Amino acid sequence: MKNLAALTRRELLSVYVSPLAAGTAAMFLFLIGLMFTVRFMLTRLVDVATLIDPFGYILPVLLAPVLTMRLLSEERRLGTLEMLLTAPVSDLEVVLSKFLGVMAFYASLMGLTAVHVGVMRFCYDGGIDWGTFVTGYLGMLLIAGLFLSFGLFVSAFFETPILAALTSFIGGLAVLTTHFASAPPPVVRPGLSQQIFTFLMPFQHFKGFLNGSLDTRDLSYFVFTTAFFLFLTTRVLESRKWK
Amino acid sequence: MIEAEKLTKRFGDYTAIDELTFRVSAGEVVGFLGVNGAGKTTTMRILSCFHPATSGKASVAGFDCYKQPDEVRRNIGYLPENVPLYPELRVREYLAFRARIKGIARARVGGEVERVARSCKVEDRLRQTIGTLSRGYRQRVGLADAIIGPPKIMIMDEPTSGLDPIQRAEVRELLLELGKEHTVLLSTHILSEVESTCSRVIIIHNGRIVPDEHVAKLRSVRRYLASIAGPKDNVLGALRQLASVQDVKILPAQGNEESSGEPAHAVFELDPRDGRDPRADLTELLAGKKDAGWQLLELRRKVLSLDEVFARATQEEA
Repeated sequence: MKNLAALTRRELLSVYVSPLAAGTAAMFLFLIGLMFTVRFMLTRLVDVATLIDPFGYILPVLLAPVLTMRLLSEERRLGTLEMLLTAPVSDLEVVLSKFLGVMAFYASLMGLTAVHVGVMRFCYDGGIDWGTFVTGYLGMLLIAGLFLSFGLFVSAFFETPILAALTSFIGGLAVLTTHFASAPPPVVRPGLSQQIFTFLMPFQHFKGFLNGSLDTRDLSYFVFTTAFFLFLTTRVLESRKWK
Repeated sequence: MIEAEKLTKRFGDYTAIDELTFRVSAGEVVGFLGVNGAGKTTTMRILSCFHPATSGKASVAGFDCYKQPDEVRRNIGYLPENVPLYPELRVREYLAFRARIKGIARARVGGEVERVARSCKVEDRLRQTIGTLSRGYRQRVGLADAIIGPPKIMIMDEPTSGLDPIQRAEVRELLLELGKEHTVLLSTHILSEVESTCSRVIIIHNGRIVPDEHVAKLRSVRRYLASIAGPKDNVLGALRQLASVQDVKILPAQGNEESSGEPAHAVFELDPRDGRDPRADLTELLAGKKDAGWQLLELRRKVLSLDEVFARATQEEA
């Protein structure tokens, strides 16, 4: 893992100079700013949900494909993957560095929304439940991590970034529509298969964070699913070594 | 330093390389020669541990390419075909990154980047973004990357492809310089390059190596070129009668005979029988035909160039 720092630094260098990332950041800040302004003017609710509730669902689905589409597909297309994988680095290091790089970028975007939190603090004299903000932001990062790792995994299959983006976008959209379609549970007493199905849906595990609750089941769900996709991505890279 | 034993790589039904066996000793500069699709890149990718062979064994610097890929990678500088680089990085950033992942200690990275940039003559471009570099400079950045360390062995896939003649000459000079201290395996399909830089040549065709003895035999082939003025068909017939001549063919005219002021003539290529020298017979023949107006304008012995050896070797195999 000694190369992880150098590899991640390289990822960050590439992310921060890319016009695509700047565009994504602009889109992110515009959407979240617009939503916050409207919601806060209408409700005056000083709450983490005011900031991220509906968009908490949509942002990762929208942004993760754009942020991850180039990560491996571009390396494949340019041939730099060959350069990278013939250097003394492990496949896992390469995958982790890409994930950490894009995660750090996403976290820095999230960090910029602190402005809105500042506005809420400025407009409201009463006590603020900071705990919900901490869990809310944590939830946003966790769900972003899942979608980013999925996007990275998809990107490992394609040489054309746009195809990777499209595929992971459709994947995200499928999860999103399933979530909304199954919003009121169709069965009053869910059977085992329904329970499993509900458990696998990412957004089920996201809601709690907005209410300020920190459930280890939700936490471990995100950690495991993210790790699962990173593992799969590593396997895809390794597949070139299968005889 | 590099040993390949019965290396075979199949992609599905397609056999890219078929039981390649060769070795490269320390300090050698070896040229890997073959037409496009002969299997050069596949072989180099196996040696650089990018993908494994289907069967057979390869070892580099004493380490097995399949079982000890990390050790192998630590000992080689690999330059893939077309020099893939990150276009958005500056040259210095890129070289520093490569130095870090190749295990150069943080404190030494700056010095190492300066060193490789100097030897590859890119020190004045360190601040430039790679995407804006010319092809020649990109190639040099790739070479600079390959000699970070410095590695014991350099494996370079077509290091001069896509360059103009001047850039090619520069890269060739660089390779000669590197060859003094490193073991180099380079692939190319430009033959003059191999002749000027490599101490040895491995010709590969359709995934197989053309045996050294065969190449040596081809290189020992002699031809004699005679420009003779006289009735073309009669001369041809007479030459074919000579005891020391196996075969004769008329080379196509160069098209500048009239302007050169030479009498009408043809150039005959004599293929000697059993390596004999046909020049004595030829002189005798022409002396007898002097009255008929036959005249020898030029006679020279020709050794097959690597180009011709290569063309013959690959055509025969095909």
